[in-house]
Amino acid sequence: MLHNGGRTISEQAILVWRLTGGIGALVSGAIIGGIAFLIWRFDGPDWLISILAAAWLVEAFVWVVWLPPFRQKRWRYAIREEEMEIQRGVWSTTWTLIPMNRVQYVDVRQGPLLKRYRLASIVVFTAAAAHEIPALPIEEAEDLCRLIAEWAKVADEDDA
Amino acid sequence: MTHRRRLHPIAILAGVGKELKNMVVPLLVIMAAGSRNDFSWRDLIVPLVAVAYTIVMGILSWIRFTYEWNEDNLLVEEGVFVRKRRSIPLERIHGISVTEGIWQRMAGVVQVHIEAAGDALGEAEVTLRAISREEALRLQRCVEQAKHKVENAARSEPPLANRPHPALFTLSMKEVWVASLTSGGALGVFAALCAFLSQLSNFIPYEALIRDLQSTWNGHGRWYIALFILSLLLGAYGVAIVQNMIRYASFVVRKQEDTIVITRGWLERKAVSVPVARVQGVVIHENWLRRFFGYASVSIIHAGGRLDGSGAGDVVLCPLVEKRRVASIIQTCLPEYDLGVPFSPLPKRAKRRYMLRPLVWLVIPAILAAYMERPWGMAALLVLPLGAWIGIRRFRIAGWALSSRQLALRRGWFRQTTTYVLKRYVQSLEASATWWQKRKRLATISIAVMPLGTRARVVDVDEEDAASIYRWLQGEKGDQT
Repeated sequence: MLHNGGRTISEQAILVWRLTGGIGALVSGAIIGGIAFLIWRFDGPDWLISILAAAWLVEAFVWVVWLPPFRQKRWRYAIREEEMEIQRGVWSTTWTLIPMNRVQYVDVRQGPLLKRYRLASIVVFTAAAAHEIPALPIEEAEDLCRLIAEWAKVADEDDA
Repeated sequence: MTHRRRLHPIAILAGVGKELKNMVVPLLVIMAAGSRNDFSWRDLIVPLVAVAYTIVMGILSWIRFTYEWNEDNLLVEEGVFVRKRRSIPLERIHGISVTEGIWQRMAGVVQVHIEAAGDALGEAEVTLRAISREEALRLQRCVEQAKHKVENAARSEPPLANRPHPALFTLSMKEVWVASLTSGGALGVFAALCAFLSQLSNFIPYEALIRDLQSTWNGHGRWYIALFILSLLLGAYGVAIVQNMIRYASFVVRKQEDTIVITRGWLERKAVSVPVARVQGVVIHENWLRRFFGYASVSIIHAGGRLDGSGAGDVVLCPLVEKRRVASIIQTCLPEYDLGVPFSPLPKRAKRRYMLRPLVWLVIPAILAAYMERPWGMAALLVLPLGAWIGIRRFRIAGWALSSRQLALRRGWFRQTTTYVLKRYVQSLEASATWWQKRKRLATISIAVMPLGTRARVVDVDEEDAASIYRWLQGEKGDQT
């Protein structure tokens, strides 16, 4: 297990997550605002509106301010010739170990937000599951993808 | 065997029959919705068109479906509007299941379902709906030969598997009966029944029914309703028993060279062959009833699609078997697995967490029920100690066993599940710990095996043990076989 060893993902991930969190908060803000408006329009109790507002504030705070830096700090990965390890999670920490010769293929993925900050995610597929490392600098992601593909192949030949 | 051939014409009937069976309920709904008051011939138009279309399509797709195979490939051509040619290398075929459904038996033919690599894409499955038994056998033999050719290209002529193999495991009629009785399939039937009823909601007046129900409830009808539900459950149970008996009748397991062949079924006979090399793990299920009598059921995790008609990757090896016989059966079928490993229990400090876990989602409903239906509702609070007791049982059962090349995880209570996986079939391993777990130095271990989404896990293993299981997979270069 990595226990905060290994490499971190890009610090800009914080920014990207803050933005996505912000967009999410806007969307849920619109929904909650709509509900609050209906409550007010039909003379619902005021305390219900304050509860809704408080819930929205908490949500926005958690997703925009509080969580992103923790997430970035907790994401770690290590890629070696025989295996790769991923560590993630704020509330619960998960360590994943994938032997290199089980890797079937690797994707480099980039959404519009990631692209804006020259970041990319890599997704590693085994026959049983997909494992993601989010928000790496694009060059690093491409290098890693090449490296994993190569090592996965080598390991495969050893196996046969 | 180079010229193209068609399936036996009974395939049309089998195919159309299956389609029509799926159409019955929607058609009934349409008809009932259309003819609110009086019934006229117009209401029959839609169903008649649908039925005619299905029949025509059935015939057309039979005409268009051709298959052939040579020494290396199986070629299938199909499609009425879009032509599709598919060629599957014989050595890539992972499993074959041969079914004799009712239609097929009328014509003395069999249905062959073929499972090949590239299955995750859902493309590498072929069903030959009606071919003669001899042809199915020939195809099976060709596949075996193609495989041998690849495996031991150097070795001389492969031995042809033709002599009868002794049965490793059979199920007597009495055991079929007991297996069906204790299978717990009734819940599935009940769910199917509910789904069916909700489909019919268009023309069953549920609202009036519920109103009636309420007035009956408030009157003296509670007992009637209870009786009605009870008989519904019993009925579902009976259907499940019959289903299982049909399914598990004349159950035989054989091992032919490197293939496990399971034959079973009464009205519909089925033969499933799974190459040993494709087996990803062994799962032993014991529900509490069977455990009480010392019985278990054994499945193998198969790295392919739905060969057995149940979930993907799940093939039943023994529907019901005395617990002490399991190890020897597995020993013969899959000698690489060692079922005699001693399990390590979870640490004492995990016990309280196991007791509390069922309570988390029981406390609020129980208290609500107790409050609303005073004073008799207080009985609902008895659920809480019961939940804690189940938690303790689960704690006692949970455990893990590690040997140099195999990991076994055990969990559950109502349905105790033990999964054995060889190291080289573990696709990835996950250790995780929540904040609460970390405080108690506990962790959760979870492994992923083929096919996609198959996992086994144990909650609240000692942190150090979790780390040692993690390292076990890590240090694997040393003992690759």
